[in-house]
Amino acid sequence: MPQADCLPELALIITRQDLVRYAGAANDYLPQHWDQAMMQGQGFADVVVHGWLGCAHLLRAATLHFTPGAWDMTEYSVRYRQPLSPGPIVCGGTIMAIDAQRSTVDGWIKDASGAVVTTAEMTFVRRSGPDAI
Amino acid sequence: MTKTASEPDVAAASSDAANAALARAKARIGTELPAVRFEIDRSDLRRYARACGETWPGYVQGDEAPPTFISALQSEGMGGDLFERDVPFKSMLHSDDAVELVAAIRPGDVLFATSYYRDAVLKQSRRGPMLFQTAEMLLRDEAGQLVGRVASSLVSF
Repeated sequence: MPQADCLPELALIITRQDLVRYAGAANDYLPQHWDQAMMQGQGFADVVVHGWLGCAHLLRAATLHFTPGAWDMTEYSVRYRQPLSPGPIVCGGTIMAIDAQRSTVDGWIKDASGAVVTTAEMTFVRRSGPDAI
Repeated sequence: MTKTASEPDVAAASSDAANAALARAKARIGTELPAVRFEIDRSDLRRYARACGETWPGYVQGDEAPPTFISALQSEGMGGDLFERDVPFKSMLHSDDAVELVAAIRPGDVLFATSYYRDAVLKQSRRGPMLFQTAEMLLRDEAGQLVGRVASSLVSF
């Protein structure tokens, strides 16, 4: 695949503080995201990052390229393939199709071990007016 | 080795319990929650954008909702009772989301969320049975026009 078809990778670290901040902003206080003892009792290494928070970073990696003022994301689907613990992640993706009006992108998140933990498909449409999607 | 009638068949019991949970889950298909009204506030949009690390000025300033903001309406819009929680599994995690965005969400918008239980499926994995449940939330404006929809799935295992 030519390099030009790949999104620039977005690397970041998701901290426990990020989970607290996201829980408050999204009103998502499920114990999977803060109760470490419970999660370790279920065999997980740590608490699990909110799927939607990982998704937001992955979509952000794509919108750094498909700027929201110029493109609207009209559809996306996400699959959380493996539980993601707080720590470093890398988001990236491949532009699968693009023309003047529409683009589709396949994206992924890799965890600290390099494993793909989340995948997504996104559709962008060229913004045609101030209120458009 | 042949099992005797007095020996519990753990695998079969687990499968029976999983199938019973599937039946309870399938009985929920079509269950719809009452509509929930939201008034979209700029500070909520700003807080959500910051929590997601957004950098585009329109999101950071709260002029427009980031594409995942619809998730912030799910906790209240979908309610805690929609999914079947009485399941014979120790873990329940988020597995999939599918989102369609029809119109931008902006400060001052008044939106109505209606949610319903869509489907339940039991799949076999190397670790045993896994129960997938899916519910969908539709977001409409005051005129009844669709603003967006999100289908979210949970997996129990």
